[in-house]
Amino acid sequence: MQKSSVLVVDDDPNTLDSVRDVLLHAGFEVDTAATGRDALGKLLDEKQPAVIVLDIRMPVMDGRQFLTVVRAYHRLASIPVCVLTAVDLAPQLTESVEVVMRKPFRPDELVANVEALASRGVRDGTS
Amino acid sequence: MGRRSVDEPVKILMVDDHPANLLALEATLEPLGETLIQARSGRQALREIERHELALVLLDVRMADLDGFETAALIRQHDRARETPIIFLSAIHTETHYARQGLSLGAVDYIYKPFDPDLLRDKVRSFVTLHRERRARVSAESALEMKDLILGVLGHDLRSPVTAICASAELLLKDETAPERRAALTRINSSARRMDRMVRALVDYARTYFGSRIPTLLAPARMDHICRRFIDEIESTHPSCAIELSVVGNVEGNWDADRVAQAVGNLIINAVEHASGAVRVDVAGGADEVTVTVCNDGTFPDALRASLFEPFRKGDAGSRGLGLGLFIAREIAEAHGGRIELASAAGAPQTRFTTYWPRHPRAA
Repeated sequence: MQKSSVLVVDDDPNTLDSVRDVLLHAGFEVDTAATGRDALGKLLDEKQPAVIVLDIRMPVMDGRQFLTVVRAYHRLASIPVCVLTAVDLAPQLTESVEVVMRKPFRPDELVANVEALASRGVRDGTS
Repeated sequence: MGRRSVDEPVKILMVDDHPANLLALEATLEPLGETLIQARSGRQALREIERHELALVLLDVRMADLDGFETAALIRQHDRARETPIIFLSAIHTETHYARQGLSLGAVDYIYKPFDPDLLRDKVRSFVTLHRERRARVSAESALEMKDLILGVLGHDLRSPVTAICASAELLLKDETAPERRAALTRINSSARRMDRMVRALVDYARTYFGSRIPTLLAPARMDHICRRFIDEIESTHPSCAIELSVVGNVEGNWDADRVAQAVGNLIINAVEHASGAVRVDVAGGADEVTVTVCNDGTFPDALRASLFEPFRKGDAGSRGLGLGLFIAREIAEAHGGRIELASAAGAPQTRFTTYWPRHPRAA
C-alpha cells in the first residue's frame, strides 16, 4: 500500500520537527512548511497531500488566512485539515476543519486522527 | 505599571525660592486634597521631576540661579515631563513679552502675583481633572495590552516548546526498552505536561481575572471516554498511581471534551497527590446530567473548606500546584452550566468531589 502524504505547517521549528517525526514513525510521507504562505506555495506547485496538519498562530500567513485561501481554491478545498493549536479557537474556525487538537498533543491520537482523515479521502462537500 | 486607583491624589509641584510664597500656594491649593510637593529652586525642581509623575508644575519666574524659564526648558528635556503642564507665576515680569516667552516654552498659563486664590485653585483643579482622565485612559490601555501579552505569551509562546518536548519524549518511548531510559523519558514527559497544566491554569486564571469566561467548544462526547483518556495519561506519567474507573448508565452528552478533561483532571491529580490508597472515579448518567465523582482516602483539611474554590489558595502544604486547580475546575463546570461540590463530611476519612455536567448545555 502506498504511504499517505501529510503536509505539516508550524512556525515553531521544534514542534514542526517533532510532528514530522511522529508521523514518519507511523509510516506517513511528510512534507513541512514554516508559514501559511510556504504551505500554500507547496500546495500549488506540488503533489497535493492526503492531509494537512495546521498550526494556527504563525507569522506571515496564519492558519486562519491559510484556511480561507485553501477553502476558496476548488482544487485544494477537499483536502482534510487537522488543526493543532495551543490557543482556543472560535467556533467558525473549528467548523471549517475536520479535527481540532490542542497542544501539547498525544502522538498516538495525532496518528489515529491523521490515519482516519487519510483513509476517508476528500472532504464531504466544500464549506 | 502598577494598578492605581483613578481617585488616588495626583502630584503638583510648586517651585518658588521664597518660603512665604510656597506657604501661600500651599494654603491656596490644600483644599483640593492632592499631593503638594515643594521645591525651593530650579535645581530642586528638576530632582523632584525625576522622582515623581506630576500632574502640574507651578513655577515662579524670578528665581536666583536657574530662573523659571531656564528651569522650564530643562524640565522639557525630561522624558517624563515633556508633556507636563506648567503654569508660570510672576510678580515682576509683567510685560507681555515675558509671558510670551513662557508660553513658547510650553507653559499652559501665565499668572501674575498677587493671584486670586479662587481663580488659581479653579485653574489647577481643571488641570488635575485632565491629568486624571489621561491617567485612566493610559491605565485602561495598558491593562488591555497586559491582557493580550499574558494570554498571548503564556497561551501560545510558552506552550509551543512544551509541545515539542512531550511529542519527542513520547516518540522516543515508543522504541525504548531499557528501563532506566524509559523512566527518564517518562519523567521528561510528565514534568513537561505538569508545566503545561500550570501554564494553562495561569492563562485561564488571567482570562477570568480580566473578566472573560473560559471558552468552550461543545461537541458530542462520552464522559467515560473523557475520563479514561485522562486516566491513561496520568497512569503513563505516574506509573505508581492506581485509579479505578466505574461507569453506570448513559454517559453521553454535548461538552467540550478537552475542558471537561481539564476540570476532572484537576480533581484526579489532587486526589492522586493526597491519597495513600486507590483513587476512585465514578461516572454516572442521570436524567439530564452526568456526574463524575472523584474520591480518595485522604481527609480533607477543615481549614480549607471555606476557601475551597478561591484562586491561589494558601495552606495546602501537600500540594505542588499553583492552587488554581479547583478554581478552574469550577469555572469550567459553570461554563457548561454545571457545578462542583465537596461531597464528603468534615473529618471523614475520605475526600469526595462531585461534578455535575448537564447533557445539553447552551453554547457559551
